[in-house]
Parts: sequence; C-alpha cells; structure tokens
Amino acid sequence: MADRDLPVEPLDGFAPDVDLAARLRASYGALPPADPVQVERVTRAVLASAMHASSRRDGSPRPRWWWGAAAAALLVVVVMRPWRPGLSHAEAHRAFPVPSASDGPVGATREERGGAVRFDLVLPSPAAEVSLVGDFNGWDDEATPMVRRASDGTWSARVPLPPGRHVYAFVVDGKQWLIDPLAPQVPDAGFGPTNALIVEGPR
Amino acid sequence: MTDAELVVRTRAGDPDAFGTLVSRYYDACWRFAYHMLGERADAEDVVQEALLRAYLAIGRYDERDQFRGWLFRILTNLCRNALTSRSRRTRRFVQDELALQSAPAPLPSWAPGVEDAALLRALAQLDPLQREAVLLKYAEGLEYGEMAAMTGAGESALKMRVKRGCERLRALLGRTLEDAS
Amino acid sequence: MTAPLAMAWLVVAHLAAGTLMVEQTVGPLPAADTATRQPGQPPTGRREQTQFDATRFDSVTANTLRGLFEDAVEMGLPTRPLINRALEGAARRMSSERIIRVVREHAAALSSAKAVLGPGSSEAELDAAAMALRSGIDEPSLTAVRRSRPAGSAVTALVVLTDLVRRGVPRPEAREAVTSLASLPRSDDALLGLQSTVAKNALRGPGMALDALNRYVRGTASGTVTPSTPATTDRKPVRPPDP
Repeated sequence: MADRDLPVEPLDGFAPDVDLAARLRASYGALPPADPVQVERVTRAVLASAMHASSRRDGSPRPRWWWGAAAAALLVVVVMRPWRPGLSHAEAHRAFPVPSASDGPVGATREERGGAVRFDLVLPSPAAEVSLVGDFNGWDDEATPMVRRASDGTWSARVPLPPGRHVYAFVVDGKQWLIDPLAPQVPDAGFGPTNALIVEGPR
Repeated sequence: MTDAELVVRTRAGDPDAFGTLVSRYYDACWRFAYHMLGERADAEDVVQEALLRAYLAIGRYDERDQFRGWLFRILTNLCRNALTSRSRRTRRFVQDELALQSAPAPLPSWAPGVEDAALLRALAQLDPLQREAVLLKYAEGLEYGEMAAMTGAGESALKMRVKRGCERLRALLGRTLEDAS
Repeated sequence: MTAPLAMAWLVVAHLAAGTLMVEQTVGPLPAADTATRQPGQPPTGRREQTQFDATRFDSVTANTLRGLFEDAVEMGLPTRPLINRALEGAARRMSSERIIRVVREHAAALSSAKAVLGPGSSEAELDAAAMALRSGIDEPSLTAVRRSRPAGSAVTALVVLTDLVRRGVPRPEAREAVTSLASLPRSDDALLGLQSTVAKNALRGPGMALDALNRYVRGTASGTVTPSTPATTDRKPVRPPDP
C-alpha cells in the first residue's frame, strides 16, 4: 500500500493525519534513549529470570527486577564483561539475585457501587488465612476474614465503608502484619506502619 | 549481524547474541510501551516481561518473520493486558468530556526534544485499541497488513480505529487537519 | 467520678452484612449510632460514638486508657483516634506500656494538630495531621495545607503529603506539590494520582520519587486532570498470555 509516503491521497475516504503523525514521531524521538547500563541490566535480568522460569508456578507474581537492579548495576560496573555460557547456575543466581517468590505483597482497593470497598491482596507465599483489620472493625482480626480466590490465589474482602479516611492493614496466619507497599502509608507511630484509604464522597 | 543470525546464536546458548538483540530493540519497545501505558515504571515492567517471554519462546520464532514484528506482537499483547487489568479496577473518570471542557485553548505547541506531555495525556484518554492502532500506524510506521498480522484484527477495523483515534486526538489537542498546514 | 464522656461498651457484632458502621462525621450534634448503642446507656454529650472494648485489656491498662481518653475530651480532642490506636495495639499484642505510650503520644500529636489546623477541622483531618507531625512533617507545611483546602476537606492532601515524604520526596517539594494540586478541581483524584505514581517510581531508585513527582505536577499544571493515573489503583501483577 502506498500510504507510507506522505502526503498521499485518501485511503477509504480517510486522509492520513500528517501533522499528528509527525507529532507522534517527534514524541518518540524526544524520549531519551535507554542508557547502555540499563539495557545490560535488563538483559541480565531476563537471562537470570529465564533460568528460574521452569520453577515458577503459573500465576505467581512476576519477579520484581528492580530489587536486583541495584545489585546488578553494581556488578555491571565492577565486572564489565559479557556473560559466559559456562557460568554456573549458582553463580548466576548470586550475580543477579532476581527475587521471585520472596517479594512483598501486592494490594489493590476498588470502590464498588453501593458504598463497599473491595480489598485485594496477592501474597508472595501461600497462607492459611488472611484478615483485614482496621479502624472500621476495631482491629479485630476475626471480624473481616479474607477469601482466597481459587483461580489465582488472590485474597479478597469487601467492606462497606463511608466516605473518608480509613486506616487498615492485613494479618497473615494470625500473626504476621503486612501492608500494601504502594498504597498510601501511615508511618510507624510505635506499632508499625499501616495503610490509609480515602473513600470518595461527601463527608 | 542480522536479527535472524542473532536468533540462531541465541538458541545455541550465546547470551551475547541475545544481549545484542535487546540493545537493538529496547528503545523501540520502551517508547511504544510508554506511549501506551503512560507510566515509566509500567513501561519498563512490560518491556522486560516481553523480552523475557521472547527469550523463552525463541525456539518458536520463525526466521522468515521480522523479529521486530514478532517481538512487538508479544509487547502489544502485554500492554493490552496491563491496560485491561488496570481499567477493570479503577474508578472511571468522565474522560473526554472533562478534558474538552477544561482543555485550555490553545495548548502550548510541542517543542522538539522536550517530552510532549499534552500528547501523552491525550493518548491516555483514547480507547486502548485506538491508541495501539494509532501508535502502530503513525509512530511505528507499519502498514495495515503488518498491523493485521500483529494484532489479529482485520484491516478495515484497524483503519477505523486509526481514524477514530486520530479524530479524538485532534479534538483533545485542540487542532484540526486544516490547522496543520 | 463519671464524666460526661463516651464510655460506650463495645459490641463487636459480626453482622451478616459484615457491616460495622461507625458514625464518621463530626458535627455540632451528637451522632447517634443506634447500631451500637446499648439499651440503658445514657446518651452521650460527646460528638462521636466511640467503641472502646475494655475486654481486650487488663483492667489496669483499661483504666489508664480511660483516663487518657477523659483527658483528651477535656482538651477538646476527638477520642476515636485514640481508641483506635489502643485497639490496634491490642490487636498487635503490644505490651501495655507501649500501648499507653503510643496513645499518649498520639494525643499530644492531636493536640498540636488542632493548634495548627484550627478548631474547624474535622476529626479525620486532625488524625491525618497528627500522623503527619509524628512522621516529621513540620507545622508550617500543615498550615500551608490548611490554607489550600476548606475546613474538613484537607484529609487527602494530608495523607498524600505524609506518604510522599515517606517515599523520599524532600519535604519542600512535597509540600509545594500537594498544595498546588490541592487547589485544583477534583483535587483528591489529582493528589491520589500523584501518590500512586510516586509510590511506583520510588522503587526504581534514589531520586526517582522526586522525578516522578515533578513530571506529574508539570503534567497537571495546565489544569487538566490526568485520567490515566487512577485514584483507586490497580497494582495487581498481570499474567499475560503466552506469545
């Protein structure tokens, strides 16, 4: 097709937008190129992950490469030579400690119609039970047990919450307290950090 | 060395070869992912995942295909998934209406070399399939035939997505085809 | 000596709907929460119903805590945040000494927060501000946030400011970003979007939190909201199909 060359006659009555195309290409060009250290880091991460690929269960969280990125970056600077195929599995693991199942939890909250909020939590390792605790249930770890979804192991709970600020955390197997690392955090004031949720609406 | 030769070496266990492939395509992948997802961290995640899957599936790659196209097929799939998962969970905004109401007229024009924030915002408000089609067509410069092979959609559907996507972008950016020249 | 304060007895009700509704708004009238008030309980003259489950503490600790709550009332401070901290401490199996210390410190922080934010502030604002103070945010920053939002509506700004600083954004930049976003329409969405993007990017390395903050604020400078940065975030890892 001839629509690669600009300007051209309309295709099916639709004239290609010359200016928009130029702007998109310029936007691409405006982004800085990835620096070679980053590219090398990604390569090593991929190769290291691939070594562990067979042991990863389907549905388990992806390795968070950046945890190992600092170590890798250091290694790249210090040992700036290509990977040798003969590198043993163990050495590869040490050289680039890609975290797999030992990562932290991943949480999500979602407001649903009717004034409820759904809390989801993905845990790096299996748990027998998980509870949601917070100001809204008196921090009672028996008040709001979470339910484990069979399909992918996510733990969920639904809580009706009025608009405003709600402080919460998760309790795993009745003893380990976790928070969602990416949700707004309430810093440790003597007990440990918790999360804060803002529910929208008139207060 | 051609991509095909690098693939052959990668299969033979040569990690330098894979490293070269990554360095060839990382930028292109990342720029696409960033325009699709709008978030640097997400774009990096997705690109890394795409490269990993490409590496794991390298045995299935057919050297008669373009490596870039094959890699991008994986990448576009992952971007779509990321967006679907994100949109299922997030609070909906009244996107276009809000943007049109509050969009200042006119937005400052983009300058070469400076990241085009207005364009990225406008892209973010497109339907993901339209956004993907517009990027593949105009930023990646693909033919509709290539896009059809990559996305599995028909060419006329793709043309419609590009058309609608461009119309919406133009409206959001406050410019028309007539103003372009 | 009985004080006209909320000595509500807790019924931890496992309601079928899983609801434990607590009256959250703070206004001039007592907020009656009929779901938890016990028959025979004298109506309180206090603003909010609080639920202090004394059974979760030994009697000495419970009495000490009640004393702290009474003091708070006399200082015009809300007791619910203090009760919540006590219950949290009990849930975490903290020692009595620690619980009492934390409740005391929180009461002091609430008092400072009230002095800084002013008397018209809501309980949620005071609680959020108290946590901000305890995390090292200074009073001028709280004053700046107070000025940027009408009374009662600064909670999100305070929460986000606290979080940004925790992620490594320097205080002056965090304060500047929060106060400027706080004056936008739909500021809560913009603020939570900022929190989300900074939280994600902070993991990428030092300086990345501030970098993300600057990019985000610049992107919203023209006044448009960034719809692609959702307020309710999805951080669940995605498992894409095989290629």
